[in-house]
Amino acid sequence: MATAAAAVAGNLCAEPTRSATLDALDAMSAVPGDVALAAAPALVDVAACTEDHAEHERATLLLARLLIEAVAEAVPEPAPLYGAAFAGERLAAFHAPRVMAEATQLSRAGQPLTRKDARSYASLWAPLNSAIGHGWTGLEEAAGRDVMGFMNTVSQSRRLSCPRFLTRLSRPSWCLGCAHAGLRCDRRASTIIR
Amino acid sequence: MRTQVSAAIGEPAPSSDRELLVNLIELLQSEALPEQVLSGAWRAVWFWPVSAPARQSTPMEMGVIELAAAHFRAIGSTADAIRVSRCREGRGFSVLHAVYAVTRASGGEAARPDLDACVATGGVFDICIEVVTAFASAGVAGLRDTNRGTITTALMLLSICHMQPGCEAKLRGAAKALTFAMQHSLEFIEAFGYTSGACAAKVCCCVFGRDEQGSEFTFTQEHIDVLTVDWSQTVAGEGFRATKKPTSDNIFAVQLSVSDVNKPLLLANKDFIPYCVDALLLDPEHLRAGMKEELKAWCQTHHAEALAQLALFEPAREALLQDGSVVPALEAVAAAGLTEQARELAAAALMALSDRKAGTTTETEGPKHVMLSCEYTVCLHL
Repeated sequence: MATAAAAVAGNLCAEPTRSATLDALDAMSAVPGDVALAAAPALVDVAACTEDHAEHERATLLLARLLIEAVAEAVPEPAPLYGAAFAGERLAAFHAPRVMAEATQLSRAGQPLTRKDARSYASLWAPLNSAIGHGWTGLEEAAGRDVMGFMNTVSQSRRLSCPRFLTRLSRPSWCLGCAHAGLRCDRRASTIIR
Repeated sequence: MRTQVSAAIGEPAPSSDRELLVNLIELLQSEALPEQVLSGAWRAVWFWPVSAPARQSTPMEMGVIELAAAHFRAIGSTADAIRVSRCREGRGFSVLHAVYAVTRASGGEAARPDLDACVATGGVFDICIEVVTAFASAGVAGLRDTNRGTITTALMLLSICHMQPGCEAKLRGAAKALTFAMQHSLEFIEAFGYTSGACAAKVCCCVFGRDEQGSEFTFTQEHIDVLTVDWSQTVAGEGFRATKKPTSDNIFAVQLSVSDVNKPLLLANKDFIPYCVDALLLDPEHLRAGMKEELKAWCQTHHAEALAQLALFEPAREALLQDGSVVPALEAVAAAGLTEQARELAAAALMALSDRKAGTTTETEGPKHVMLSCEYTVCLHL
């Protein structure tokens, strides 16, 4: 599966090629910087929209790994990669992933949340943890906001998982995909929050 | 922004929130997880009390502080745990930050089982002392590779625990390491005041603030300025601090106002006296007017004492009298303060100021302090 920078985002967002692309990226001993920059936002899209817990965890942990590698490189800092991943509406979508929203809805219907749900919730915090060691301010600046903006967005995103918000969501098509031609985003967080 | 955050925090949490938290902690207790998920799970616990402060009891009931100490120890040496290159998934930071979130959610409560758990032998408090010591031991060469969140959070936890039995002696023993942390400040979130230097200043304030001559630690004007900004914004409820209650966990103005060594530094900061007046919470429109009565009472009493301590210091008396808001504010507290202690402290301050106004100052040698007995009786110690 092609993992060149030009193709990797599209391959991650397209369901038929997603798994193989994740495999290929996992197999790399070190992901080249341009590939990482292209893959990062697509991994956020996958994590936000997949209905599969295992795929959600793969995407989030791979993103965390890319950020760890960026930190280890030291120059450039992880900020550009973090910014590419979480700029704009992607942060909100990432913190209200489909796997969690559906679990919350089922919980309201009497089906308790499980450790699998907790594990998905835990894994979505892994990328931030991996990038934050050298400071948080610069990361959020690279994503076009400040840390307060992060706090607000994530606080509100949690409410996206509540049923009364979920009922206002249309069935997600694949991928937030704002940057990818032919892919449509049905979960525009800011619209829902308003 | 403040409104948005408050709305999010104040919203009743669905029961599924608690279920998820319980599952997260059970996950941490029982399963061998990939390092990244483990670290993420601690980060998720951190976010939880921020989102729902009313539910701080769940982590305590499930032994999360003891679990955090065990997980931190499992990383390996403390020297490794604070280094970005040796603890790449950031577990050291996320573990300590989860504990901080639990303690923060309990701020202002009368009983503090969270702090009892932190200071248990070999527990989180000891870990934080080790973190600061390891940070200093690594020296300037180690700064680049230090996880800024880990050192900053360790310092925040030290200041929260400082009044627990046995903690002050350990903190005094770490004076050199704390000095290093202040001299080599690392920014974590500067806009929130989360720098290692500012957090170390708070710890030093708790421990060394009341010292007169011969202290292991000397405050500078910069330290005072940083602390005043942090405290005044916390009381005013500005920005991120809207979600942070002013409590004895994070405000230490009295500690600094006792020592005659530090009083000139407080006076040199033009914002310190206005901050103390604001913190009396006399304005019915104050953003903290809706805070719990116990917290408001603590805040008013603390700052009435700070003003009373300053009033006994000749240069400070002049400054207090020159500020037209001080005497009316003290009169208001003396007449209708939230606690008997606050009323007595305000009266004591007014008495010291009126001595000055009438030209009847008593000249005695040595520093003068307001002393509080265990019955909260106020007397001037001249």
